[in-house]
Amino acid sequence: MSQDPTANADRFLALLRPIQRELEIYCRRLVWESQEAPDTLQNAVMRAFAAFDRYDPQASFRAWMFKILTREALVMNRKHTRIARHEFQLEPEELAALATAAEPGPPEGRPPLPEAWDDALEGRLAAGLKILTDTERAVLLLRFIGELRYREIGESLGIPLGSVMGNLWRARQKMRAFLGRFMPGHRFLKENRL
Amino acid sequence: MRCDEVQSLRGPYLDSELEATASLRIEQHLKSCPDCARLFDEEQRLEAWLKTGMNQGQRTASLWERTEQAVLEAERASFRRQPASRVVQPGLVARAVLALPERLWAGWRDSRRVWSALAATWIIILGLNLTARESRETQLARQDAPSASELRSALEQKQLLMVDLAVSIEPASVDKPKMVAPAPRSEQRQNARRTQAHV
Repeated sequence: MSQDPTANADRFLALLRPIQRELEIYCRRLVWESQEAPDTLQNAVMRAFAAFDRYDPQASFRAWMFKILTREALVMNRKHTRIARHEFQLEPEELAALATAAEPGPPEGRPPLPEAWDDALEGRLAAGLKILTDTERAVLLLRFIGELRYREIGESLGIPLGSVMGNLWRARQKMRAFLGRFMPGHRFLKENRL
Repeated sequence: MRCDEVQSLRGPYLDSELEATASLRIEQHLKSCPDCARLFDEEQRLEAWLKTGMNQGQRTASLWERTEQAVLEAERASFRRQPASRVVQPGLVARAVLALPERLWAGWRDSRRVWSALAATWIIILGLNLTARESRETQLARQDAPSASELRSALEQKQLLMVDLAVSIEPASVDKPKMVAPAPRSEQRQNARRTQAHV
């Protein structure tokens, strides 16, 4: 038995510190109510620390931590079923129609994507994520922020690989369609088809 | 590969989730198909843009300080709650036995007043016990003295003997003495009591 009363915590925090920023961003984007992100994050960290003696050092700490945080955030989101009833459940085809209705771009070609992320773009991105289901949002964020492999995403959410690919595909299509509405000339969904 | 097959694998290809052979076949197709190559290029740029946007944000220092403090405090609390090991190790036992005299001496040295008070109390108790103890002669004398019931029984026997003696010295009758069967002892005892009461 170690005599240092914080040896275990020090080891845990040493693994946690390099991924704190990604965990926080992921949590803020995944929870339905952004003000609940700090509590969700802290609960997940404490839960992970309580289970740290069962963590396999050979496994990816990043994937393990994202898995615990994902479950904590989804539990938190389930508390908001009243709000979730108003969640948009649009199919990619319906979104395609929305994208087509957007303003046409300049005839000379597609303008470059905006480089600077301002508040307006951030707001649209946040709104775009809200049209996704919990699973689609989690899959997309685990891929884009967590940079997890499909297998790790499946393990985090307890779904098979095929479901990971299906949810990721739908999430991408919806996001493209939603963002394309606000960017003339970037009718992503339509133009990304043969 | 056909164009629709290649397009269906666009996501996994860009996510580097395909096997090496499948990736190679797609790359060969893209070299020969400008339409598919353009779509892949667009997709890649859009993905990079979305990824950049989603990763916007900073770490909140105060939140993580609080969280780290909570972790450290939980660890300290858990350490305090840990029970002592119940496994008896032979080395520890031997060490404890060897250290016993030293610990006793240390105990004596550190709390002489307590030990002195205990010793004095013990001596007083012993002294009181000795003074309160009866001598052997007193005990024997008390053992030889007859009890009240024994005295009463002896007195009754003496009275019976006196009655017998009185009867035996009465003057002999002129007539031929009759042979009288001796009365039972219980009757004799009753007679003796009656006589005593009369007297």
